[in-house]
Amino acid sequence: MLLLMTGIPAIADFVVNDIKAGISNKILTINGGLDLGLSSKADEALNKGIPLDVWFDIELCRERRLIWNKTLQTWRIKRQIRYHALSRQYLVTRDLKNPESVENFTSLSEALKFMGNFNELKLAVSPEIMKKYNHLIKVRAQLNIESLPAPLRPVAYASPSWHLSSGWTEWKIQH
Amino acid sequence: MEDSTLNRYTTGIKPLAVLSALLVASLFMMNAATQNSTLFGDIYSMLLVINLVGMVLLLSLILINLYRLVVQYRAKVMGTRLTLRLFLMFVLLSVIPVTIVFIFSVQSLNKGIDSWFDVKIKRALDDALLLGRTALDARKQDMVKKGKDIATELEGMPDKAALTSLNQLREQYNITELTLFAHDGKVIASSSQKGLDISSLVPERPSEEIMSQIRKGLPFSSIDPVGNGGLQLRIVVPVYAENVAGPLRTLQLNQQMPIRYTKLGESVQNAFAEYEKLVYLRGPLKFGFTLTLSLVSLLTVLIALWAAFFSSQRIVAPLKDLAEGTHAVAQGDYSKKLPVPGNDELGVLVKSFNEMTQQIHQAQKQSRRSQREAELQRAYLETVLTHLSTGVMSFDRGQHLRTSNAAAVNILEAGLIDEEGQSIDQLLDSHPHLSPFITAIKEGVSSNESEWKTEITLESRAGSRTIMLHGTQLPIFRSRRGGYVVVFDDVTELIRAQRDAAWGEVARRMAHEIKNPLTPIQLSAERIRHKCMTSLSDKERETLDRSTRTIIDQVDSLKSMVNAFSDYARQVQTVPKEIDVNGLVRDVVELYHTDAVIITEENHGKKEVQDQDMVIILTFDPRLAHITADPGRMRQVLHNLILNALDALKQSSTPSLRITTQNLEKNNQTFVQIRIEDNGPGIPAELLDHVFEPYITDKEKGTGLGLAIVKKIIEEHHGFIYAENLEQSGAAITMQLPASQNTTMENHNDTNDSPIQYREHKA
Repeated sequence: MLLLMTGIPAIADFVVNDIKAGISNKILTINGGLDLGLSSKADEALNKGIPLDVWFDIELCRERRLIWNKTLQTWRIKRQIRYHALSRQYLVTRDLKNPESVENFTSLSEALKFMGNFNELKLAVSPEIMKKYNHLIKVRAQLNIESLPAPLRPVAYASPSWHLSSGWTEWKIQH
Repeated sequence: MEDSTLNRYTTGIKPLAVLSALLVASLFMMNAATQNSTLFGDIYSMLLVINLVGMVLLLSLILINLYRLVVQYRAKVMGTRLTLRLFLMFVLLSVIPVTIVFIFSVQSLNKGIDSWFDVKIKRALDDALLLGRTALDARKQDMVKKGKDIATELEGMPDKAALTSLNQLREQYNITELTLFAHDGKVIASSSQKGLDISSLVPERPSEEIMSQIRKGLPFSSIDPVGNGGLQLRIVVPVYAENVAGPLRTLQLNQQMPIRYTKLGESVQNAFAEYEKLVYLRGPLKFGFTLTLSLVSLLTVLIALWAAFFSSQRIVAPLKDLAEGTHAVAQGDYSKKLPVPGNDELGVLVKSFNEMTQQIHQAQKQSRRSQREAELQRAYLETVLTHLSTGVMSFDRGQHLRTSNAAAVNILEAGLIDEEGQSIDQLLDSHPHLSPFITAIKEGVSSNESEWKTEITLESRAGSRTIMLHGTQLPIFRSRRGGYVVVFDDVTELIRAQRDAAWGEVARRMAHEIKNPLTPIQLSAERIRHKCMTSLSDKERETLDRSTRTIIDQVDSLKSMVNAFSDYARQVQTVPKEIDVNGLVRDVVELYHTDAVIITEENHGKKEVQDQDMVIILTFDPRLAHITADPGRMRQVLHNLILNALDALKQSSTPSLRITTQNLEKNNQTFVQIRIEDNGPGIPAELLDHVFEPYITDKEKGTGLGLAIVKKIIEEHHGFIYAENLEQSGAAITMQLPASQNTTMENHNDTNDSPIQYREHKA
């Protein structure tokens, strides 16, 4: 697999570092990770027991020369981090549908690194994918303000500290 | 259609009511979400946006209505002033209390939220957490010690025997799970309790961070929350080899905490986490509640504004209707009916107004009906008066002319139509010939009698006319004298007719009583003459001859007179035929060609005429209408008149007789006029008015019945005749006879054509 980075991170807080993606046997495999840097407000809220949900949006697109790219398939991966005061550990849930898939970390940096890591992430793609076309994926990570407690949402919408997003980055895929 | 729909949506009560209800519901939901995220928490932001957009919409609608009200106020539309005043009053009454409530509510809210947080509770929770951690740490230290002991026992133990040893040691130390890792992280052996609920068959490998700590010879211990809400102790210790250069192995102990520990720990953790979260959310909570309260207050104010707007409009609407109704009544429109707003005082007022206008409307209709009837009566009276042959004039109490009919104009020969409103003295100035008439009216009015009657004589172009006046005082209405009305008739013709009838009777009696003895007298005279002539002397014979001849001549004369009277009195059976008057005149005049020179169109300028010659000039209208008359009687008329004229011209030096015919329009009827003019001495003035009466003559010889018979014949043919003297000299007799119906139409358009002139008067 030959991987080329073409995307440029838009927001400094969440940064897409390096993504390697390939399609094989109708499976899209993604490796790489994102640096999820929390703002002081978000860090404070996390340590005060507010769970933070980060949404990873992935779009599979067909590259077109003259017009805009065609989006073939989209995925949204939802991960959550929260602080457990009694054990003094950060709990990362990588699959919100399965609450027991929790990883414990004593340090926040280790937890965020784990949270932003795509280690052999496999996604099933539709049969439309054809080798004769060039494809690419777009990746974005953003803090979901709507998952915050209701009273906090107006404040979060009004404050730039809460608008944590990596912006879209594009990564070429070679079949 | 689109404008009305838009108007209904912007000014209607239902859209605003629905919008307000939705906003109230949305605010309730938002408030519930602020208090508890599980209720409507997912749609909190959407609710917030809906509320803001809805309020902007509500505010826009109110501003649109307010703008329209201001525009109408500037245009001075009826009722807008009061509406605006009421609106402002309602606004003040609603906004001020809401603002006060809002301020106090915000303060109370902030204080209330602050009261949720207590330092003692915070300290208790911190202590509880610390206590929990201490208890867990004690368990953890105990487990570390156990781990070290087990690691010591495993030193020098070959990998192949590790599993057996692990099983024994796990049971010996009552450990949930024991795992031995090689230096490269691979699992050498693992032992766990039966029935253990583990998420993975493969034990979790220590992370690099843990391994680096192990390599330093330091044990690792942690308390890990597990997915099902429980707690687990994790201890990692090094297992040294017997020789120093041997590979370092790692032992990992996982020990599930007892259920009691787990529950207590979970309780402490949840309480602490919730409280910490609450403390952290204190500011946002205040903001959220304040925001909700602000939105509620704003919504209340907006609804109050809207209610104020519509209430003021609803209150003012009946008053506006009333104002418009009174304006319409002032303009004379009594048919306007106002909608009754309800059963309150305004409703009673509007009902009374409607009843009042209805009554006025009925009265107005009745008045109009009466006025129309009066106009019909007036038109009827005018028609009757116009077509009356009797003259009618009415005067007000100031003796000003109010009305006069056409007959009055004809009888008085005065244009009274345009002189209505003039005083009776002004009428006298305008028409001096009416002096006897006006004098008679004044005398009648001054007599103060309700009715008076008199007879006067008016001089006119056709001679003296006798007018019979009858004055009546009009009824007095509400102490106002109603003036008086004068009715009068021209009785000249009536008197003449009576006189003619009397003369006819005299003539008939004379013919009967006188004619009979005349023949015996004449015969007796002739007999005496015949028998005595021979027996008498010459002197006596001469005397007898003269006497008897005188008797016989006088008897002849008397016979002629009696015959004339007989002719006058005789009722002749006329045989009317259609006559060409021009031809008739020409035929009659032709009989006089030996006595006079006749000048016609054909011989005009051809005949030689001397001054002393009798000249008869015929001037005929070539389009003269025919008349229906007895030709013999009409011939007699013409002979009588021509003979009279010729007799009158015997003493004239330049005798001339002119006979003119022409059509004449009179009272929408065509007449044929025959005019005979001579240049003789004229008719003596004292005889002019009686020239057509029997026994009126200026001739030495004549019965005086010629013109009377002429007049009688003309009247038998429904004609009109009059005599007048000419300005220079001479007299004229004018006859007017109605034209035949069938000839009238064909000559009608040419009636104004002038007849052809054959010869001018002699100089």
